[in-house]
Amino acid sequence: MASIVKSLGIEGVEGYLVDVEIKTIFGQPMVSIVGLGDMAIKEAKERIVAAINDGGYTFPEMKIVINLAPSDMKKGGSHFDLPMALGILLETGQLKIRRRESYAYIGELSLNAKIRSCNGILPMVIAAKKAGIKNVIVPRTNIKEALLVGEMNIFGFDCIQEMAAFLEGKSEYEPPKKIEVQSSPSPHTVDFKDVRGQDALIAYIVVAAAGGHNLLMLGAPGCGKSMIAKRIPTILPGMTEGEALEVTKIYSVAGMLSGNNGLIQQRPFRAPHHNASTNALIGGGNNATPGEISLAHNGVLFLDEIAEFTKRTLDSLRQPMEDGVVTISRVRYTNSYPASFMLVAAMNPCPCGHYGSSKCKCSDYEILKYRQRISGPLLDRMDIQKYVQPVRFQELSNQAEEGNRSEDLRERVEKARDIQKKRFNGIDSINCNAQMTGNLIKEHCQLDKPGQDLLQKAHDRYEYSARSYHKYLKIARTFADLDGAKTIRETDVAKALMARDLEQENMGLMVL
Amino acid sequence: MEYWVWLSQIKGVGARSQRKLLENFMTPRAVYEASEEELRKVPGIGNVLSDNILSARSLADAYDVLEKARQKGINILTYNDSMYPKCVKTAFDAPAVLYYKGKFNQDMVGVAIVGSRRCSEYGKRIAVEAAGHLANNGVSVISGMAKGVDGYAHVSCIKSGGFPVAFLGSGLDVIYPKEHQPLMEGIVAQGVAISEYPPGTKARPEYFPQRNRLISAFSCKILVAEAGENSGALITAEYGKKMGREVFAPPHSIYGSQGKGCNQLLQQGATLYMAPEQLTKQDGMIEEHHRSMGSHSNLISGLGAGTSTGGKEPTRVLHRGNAEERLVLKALLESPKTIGELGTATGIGQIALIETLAKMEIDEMIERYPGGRFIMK
Repeated sequence: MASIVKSLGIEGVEGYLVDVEIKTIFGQPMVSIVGLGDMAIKEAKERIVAAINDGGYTFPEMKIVINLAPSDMKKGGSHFDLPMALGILLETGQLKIRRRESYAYIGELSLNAKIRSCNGILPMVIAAKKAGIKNVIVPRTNIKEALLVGEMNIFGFDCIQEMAAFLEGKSEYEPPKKIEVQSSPSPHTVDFKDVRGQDALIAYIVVAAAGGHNLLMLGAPGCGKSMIAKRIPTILPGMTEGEALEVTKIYSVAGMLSGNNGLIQQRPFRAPHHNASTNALIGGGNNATPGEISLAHNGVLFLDEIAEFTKRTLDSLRQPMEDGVVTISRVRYTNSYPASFMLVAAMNPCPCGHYGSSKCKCSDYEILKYRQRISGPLLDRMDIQKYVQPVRFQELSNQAEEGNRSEDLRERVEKARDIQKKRFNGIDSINCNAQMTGNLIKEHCQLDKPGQDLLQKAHDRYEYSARSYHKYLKIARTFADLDGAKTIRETDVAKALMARDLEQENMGLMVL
Repeated sequence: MEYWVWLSQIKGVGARSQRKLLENFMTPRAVYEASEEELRKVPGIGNVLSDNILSARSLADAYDVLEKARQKGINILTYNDSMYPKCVKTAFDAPAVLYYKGKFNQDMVGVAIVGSRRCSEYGKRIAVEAAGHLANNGVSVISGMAKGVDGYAHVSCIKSGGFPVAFLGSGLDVIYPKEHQPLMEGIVAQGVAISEYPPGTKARPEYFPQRNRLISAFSCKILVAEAGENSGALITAEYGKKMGREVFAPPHSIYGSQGKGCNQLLQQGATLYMAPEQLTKQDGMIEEHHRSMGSHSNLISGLGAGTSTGGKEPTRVLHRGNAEERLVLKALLESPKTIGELGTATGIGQIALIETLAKMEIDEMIERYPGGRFIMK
C-alpha cells in the first residue's frame, strides 16, 4: 500500500490540500514525480536523495513513484520537499509515526537535511485549518507567519532528524521562546504636518482618502508630489484583521514577507517606477505571480510620472480598478489576486513641466497630446485632479505654525468611512462613495436647495455629461460625510466643483 | 478657367508680369494664343519671359490642377472675378489665381492676428482675447494657421462663432503643421482657407513670406501679438506698413527675447495695443472697403457694439461681488494667483477660499490660468 502524507498547494492567494502519495516498486532505481509539478518539484528528487542520506537514512534502491493529488491541478514551489522525503521514509519503513493526530507538512529541504523557509505559508495554513487538519509542521523560520492563524498547532523544525524524533514520539516539541504574534503597528515616520501652506490640497486628499476616490496630482517637477503621496497611507483608516490577513497572504505568496514580521498591519504603499512592465504592474511571469497592484491591495498604489508609463500598461489597470480583482492567465497558470487599491498618480502638467510659468513654451496642442497619454477611461476614474503648488521656503522654515496632523486627518477619514459603511451595508462590492452606481447616487446624494441651484448653474455653464455630473455628486457626498451632514449642502457642491483642475483646464485649451 | 491656372503656373511670370500681360491681352486666353512678337511688344516682358511663356504653352498641367482641385473641393478665384476684394487688388500685385476652400465672402476683409509659433502665455492670451472679441463683433480673423499665435487666434475665433480666414503657405490639401488637421476642418466649415499655391504644393520656407503678404493685403488692421526678433510676423507687419494697414503691437518685457519684435514695431511707430476694442474701433478703412465692395456687412453694425470696454479698470472691478470676492479680485488685479497665494494675499483661509473661488468661477468673475492659478475675467 502507498504511503500518503498531507501537504498543501497554492492557487492564487488561496491554499488547498494536497495528498503526497509515495509508492516503491521493484525495478530500475529511479524517482518519478507526477501530478503536474513545476521545475522546482521536478528537481526536488535530487534534494531529497541528498537530504535523506545526510539525515542518516538510506535512500531505497527501487523505483519510486510520487504522486501529488489532486493530479489535475498545476503545482509549484519547493515546499513539497519535506512531505515527499517523509513519505519515502515511511514507505521504506525507516520511520514510524507514533502520534495519532493527522499532520500536514510544508518545507523545503537543503542537501544536508535542513528544513528551509518557503513562501505562501499563511494561505496554506489557513487552507489546512479549513480542511480540518489541526497540526501543521513548517520550517522553524516560518513559524511566526504560521501562528497568525489561530487555533492551530504549529510545529517548527530545523532539520529532518529533529522532526523525525518528534514524530516517533522520542522527544516532545519545544516551542521557540518569545513569539509575539500580534505586533503593534509600527508608527509612521512621516506626517502631513510637514506639508505646509497646502491646506486646500490637503482638504482634497482627505476627501480622496475618505471616499475612496482616486487622486491625480499635477505640478512642476520638485513641487512635492511624491512627498505628499508618501503621506497618504498615514491618513487611511487602520486595516481590519480580515484586511490585514488578506494583505499578508498576498505578501506571503509573493515571498515578500520577511520571516519575523508577522501580520502586516500598515496599509501598503507601492510606488513602481514608470518603466515597470505590464506584468510587473498587474502580475504575471512564469508562475503568474502577484504584481504591484496586488501588493498595493487595501493600500495605495502611487504612480509617479504617470504620463511616462506606456499606454498599454496603464490601460491594463482599468479592469482591476473596476473589479478590485485581477485575473492573470498564462499558458500554465491562471490566477486571481485581489487588487483593491487607491490609485494616487502624479504628473507634470505639460511636456516641459513648467506650464503656466514664463519658462514654458509648450503649445496647447503639445500639452493636450501629453495629457492624452493617459487614456480617457483611466483619467475618468481619477475623481480628484488637483494642482500641487510648489512649497515655498518661508513656509518650510516657519516652524511656529502647526500644520494638519495626520492623526487628526485620519480621525476625520475614519468617521466618514463609518458613515459610508452604514450606508452601503449589505450592498455587495460597494464600500465607499467613489464606487456608487447611478441608482445609488440617486438614492444617497440628496442636495439641499442652494446646493441644487449651484450645481444646476455649473451644469448650465459647462454642459457636463451625465458621467461628470455624477462624479461631482459623489465628491460632494464625501465632503458632506466628512462634516457628518445628511444632505449635500452648497459648500459641498462648491468644493466638489473645484476638484477637477485638469478637466477644467483642458476645456480652456485652444485646440479644436 | 484653365487659362487662368495656366497663366499662374508659368515659370518666371510673377504677379507683376501677369498683370502686364493681362493689361495688354485682356484675357489669359489671349496671352496663351499670342505670338512671340506680340508678347515681346509688352513692356517688361523680355526674351526670356516670352520664351518661357511660349515653351509652357500646354494646358495639360492646368487641367491636372483643375481636376485635383475638383476632387478635393477646392475652388478657384480669378483676378477679374467680382468677388476678388478690391482692397487686395489695389494693395499690391495680387496673384492672378487664388485657391480657396470654404465660403469666400466679400466681407471677409478683417483683422489679422499674427505672432510667433512658440509663444508665451501672455501672447496667447492677447491672441485669444482679441480673436474672441473680433468674432463677437462679426469681424473676420485672419491668420496663417501656423502653430502658436496663429492657431490660437483661429481656434478662439471658431469657438466664439466668428469667421476665420486662414492663408496657407502650401496647397490647400497639404496641412502644415499636421496637428492642425482638425483646425483646418473647423476653418473650412466656418470660414475660409486660402492659398495662392495649387493643390499638392508642399510647404516651403520661401512660401511663408509670400503668404504673409496675402495676410496683410486682406486685413485692414494687423495685430502682432508676440514676435521675437526674427519672427515671420514682422514680415507681415512690414508688408502691412507698405500697404498702409494699421499695425498694432502690445508692449512686451524689455528683458526677454520673446517680445523684442513687438517692442521694435512700437519703436518704429506701430500703434500701442492695449485692448481688443481698438481693433474694432470705427475708422475710415473698413467702411471704405465695404462701401467700395457695395456690400452691407454686419461688420459695420458690429463696430458700434465693440466700443464698450471690458471691466478691467480697478475701480469697476472692486465694486463687484461681496466683501470676500472683492478681496480676491483685488488680489488678482496684480497677477494670476494660486489658491495658496490668494490665501496669503487676502488673509482668507484656503478652505473658505475654495468655496468662494468655485462660485466666482461659475459667476464668470474669474477664470483658470495655467498652472492651477486664477485670473480675473
